[in-house]
Amino acid sequence: MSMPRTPVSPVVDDVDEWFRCAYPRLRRFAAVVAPPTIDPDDLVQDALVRVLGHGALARLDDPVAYLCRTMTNLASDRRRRWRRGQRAHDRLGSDRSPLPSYPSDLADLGRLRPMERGAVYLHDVEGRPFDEVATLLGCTAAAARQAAVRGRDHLRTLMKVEP
Amino acid sequence: MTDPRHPLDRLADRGQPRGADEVLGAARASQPASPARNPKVWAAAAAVVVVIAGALAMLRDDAQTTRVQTVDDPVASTTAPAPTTTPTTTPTTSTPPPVARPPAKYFGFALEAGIVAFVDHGDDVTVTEIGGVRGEESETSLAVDASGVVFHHRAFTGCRSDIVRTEPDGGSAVLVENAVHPALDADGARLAYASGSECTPDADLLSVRDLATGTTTTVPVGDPDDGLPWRITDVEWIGTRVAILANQVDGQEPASQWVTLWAPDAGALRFDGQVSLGVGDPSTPGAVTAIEPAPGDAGSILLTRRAADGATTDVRRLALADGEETTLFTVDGEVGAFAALSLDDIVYVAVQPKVDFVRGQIDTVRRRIGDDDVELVEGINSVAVPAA
Repeated sequence: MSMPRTPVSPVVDDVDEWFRCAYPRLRRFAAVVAPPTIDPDDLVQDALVRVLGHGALARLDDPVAYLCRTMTNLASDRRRRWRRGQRAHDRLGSDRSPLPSYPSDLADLGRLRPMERGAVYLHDVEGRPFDEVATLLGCTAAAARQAAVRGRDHLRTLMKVEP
Repeated sequence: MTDPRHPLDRLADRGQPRGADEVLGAARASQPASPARNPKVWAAAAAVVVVIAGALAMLRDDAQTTRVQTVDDPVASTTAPAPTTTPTTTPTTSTPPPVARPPAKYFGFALEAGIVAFVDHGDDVTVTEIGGVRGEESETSLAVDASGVVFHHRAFTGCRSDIVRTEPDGGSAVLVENAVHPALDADGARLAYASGSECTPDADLLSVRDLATGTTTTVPVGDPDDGLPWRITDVEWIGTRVAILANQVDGQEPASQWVTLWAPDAGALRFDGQVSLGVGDPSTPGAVTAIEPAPGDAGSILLTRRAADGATTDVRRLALADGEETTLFTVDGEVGAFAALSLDDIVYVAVQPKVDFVRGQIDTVRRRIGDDDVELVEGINSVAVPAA
């Protein structure tokens, strides 16, 4: 059942041209929500594969929102799967590092959940209101606001412990 | 010099972009060949299905491993192409529907191929298949009424799942809603189900539809305190109320399980209490995987709870007043679905990861009467008892 919401992306006439316009924004969003081990372009591509598999982009009311939701779900699935695997390894007592780490001051952002990263990014960086953030993340405005609050809290904690 | 931008703004620029054309081209190249758009692929697939179904039929005849007698020709009813996954398509069947009436007292089953079967309660187990209902994946659920009308949830690849209604003669299959977990009330007059804002498996909307008038009442389910959504993983009628098995979702992480109750009241669904089931989600050890009404007892609910080590599953009775759980019986392995005629007569799907080069994992339906536990039929993934 679809909830009627205001589209936040233009109508698709020419898919190639539309995607060229939407790509920078979609890739930036993918870079934010994707786990550190996932290339943002791979996440965009995976989301596109799923969306194209259901029919043409032009049939969607709001392709950008649909792709953002799909990317968030895919990123969350990957993270959840990884955590289950990690718990299994913990039970078995095997040695496995908690997360691949890279020498970057942004590495800690990987500890935030994809939904939190997405909510903070869309609201604080892109300046979108929460009802629009909710449309892009596929949740209620209250849940988007809550995710942003938690994301900011986590960010503050991470920033405090940085030297 | 430190970059003054927001850390997530900087994170958004990570990596070297491959470019729109390359990403879109790769996505198109990754598209699986869609049988729905290629008649030749359909023909080949149908031929393969005929061969496999024939082989299976021969194997079953040879092995005599079950007491099932198939009334209709299973080969003929599995040769039609599955419905397309196009969201606007109303499911139909292209084979002449076999005329079948359910026995006076029966269980409804969804077979692996999405075919619904009726099995008589009596000792002479007879499967009558109807061909109008088809699923594409094994995750299915059923609701049946006394006349054999079937509401069947079938999952598509990706986010879409539909509930379809099929008449007992198999003559029509009508899309009811893009939703999951159909449940009929005791009169067979109202259908409860769960749906999602986009991705049906992530259902967080509960609906009740009056089947006579078509009037539908929908309510978003979520934590009344912080607004975080619940994910609905099962729906059942408990007397005049609707019970849902839900995960409270913290961000995207399943945090805890609840049974919450909803009372249809003057055109609305009113929250009517909840019982905590502990931490987990249906895929984790120790968690509750399904709920069912407790026959004759609107103050209790039946549930299946996996053991912490995952080796066994309990069928339990949960008192809604105090949350106390009483184990009725324990089975080895997982229980995929179950239905109760009484507290002493429960039919369940035993999921056994049995290695079989032809059939792979084999689910069997077993019936537990008192301490007796007998196999009814195999190759089943869902079971239901009809509304009165």
